[in-house]
Amino acid sequence: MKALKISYKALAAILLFYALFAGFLWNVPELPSLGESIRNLYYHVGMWFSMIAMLCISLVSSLSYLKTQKEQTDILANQSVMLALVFGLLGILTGMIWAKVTWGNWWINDPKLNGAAVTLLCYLAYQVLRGSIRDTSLKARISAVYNILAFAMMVVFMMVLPRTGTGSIHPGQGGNPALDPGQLDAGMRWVFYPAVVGWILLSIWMLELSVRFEKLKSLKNETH
Amino acid sequence: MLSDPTLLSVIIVFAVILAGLFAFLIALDLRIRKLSRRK
Repeated sequence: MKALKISYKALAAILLFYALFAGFLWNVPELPSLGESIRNLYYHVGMWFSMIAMLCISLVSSLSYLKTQKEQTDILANQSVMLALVFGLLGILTGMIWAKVTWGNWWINDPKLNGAAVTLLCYLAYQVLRGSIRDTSLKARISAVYNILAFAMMVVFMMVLPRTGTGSIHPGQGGNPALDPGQLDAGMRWVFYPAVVGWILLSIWMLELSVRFEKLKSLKNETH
Repeated sequence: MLSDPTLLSVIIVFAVILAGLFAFLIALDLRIRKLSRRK
């Protein structure tokens, strides 16, 4: 188990350094609208995947808390939302840079972009909700219920709404090319997939650390 | 491609940031492990 823990952390470091060097140095398709900014795919999308992974862990933890009432699952749910916010914010920042290069603006009125912003606000509200309740078990129960609702809203705002109505100009939405077979360059896949795995492993490592730290804190509070 | 000084400096900056992040995480990991053992 210890070897597994060390190996996934080492793998995260190897994959992210590989994504950094290969991402900047390897050839990419020459597309006039994207130019060299296409390399942002390895970082921007990886960060969003990490955010989704954290939110999935958080959802499962909240469901588990409602079933078992174990404090550990509440800590896991809270910390994974915190990390999802960090990766989501990084995803938004890298996306804004990409938008400026390709669309000419830092932000455009697009269902996908607005949905991502609303999702982050929903999870910020989760943190505000937690901060407003003092009773520990009540806080855990109410925030677990809210977290399940927030996940459903994330699915609606980020995955359903951008695909309906007038559609979005964001890749992957409204018929725009993205990651499907034949759409993403085969050479880029050699960097993209390791990068995504690297970002997700990094987020898991950070989650593990923050959960261990929170457990230590609650242990310290119990002894005082 | 590495002969381009701008690209080289961008890669170096990001590599330093990434190395700093991993150094921080490893240090934090070891510190938490040490504190957990003490408890």
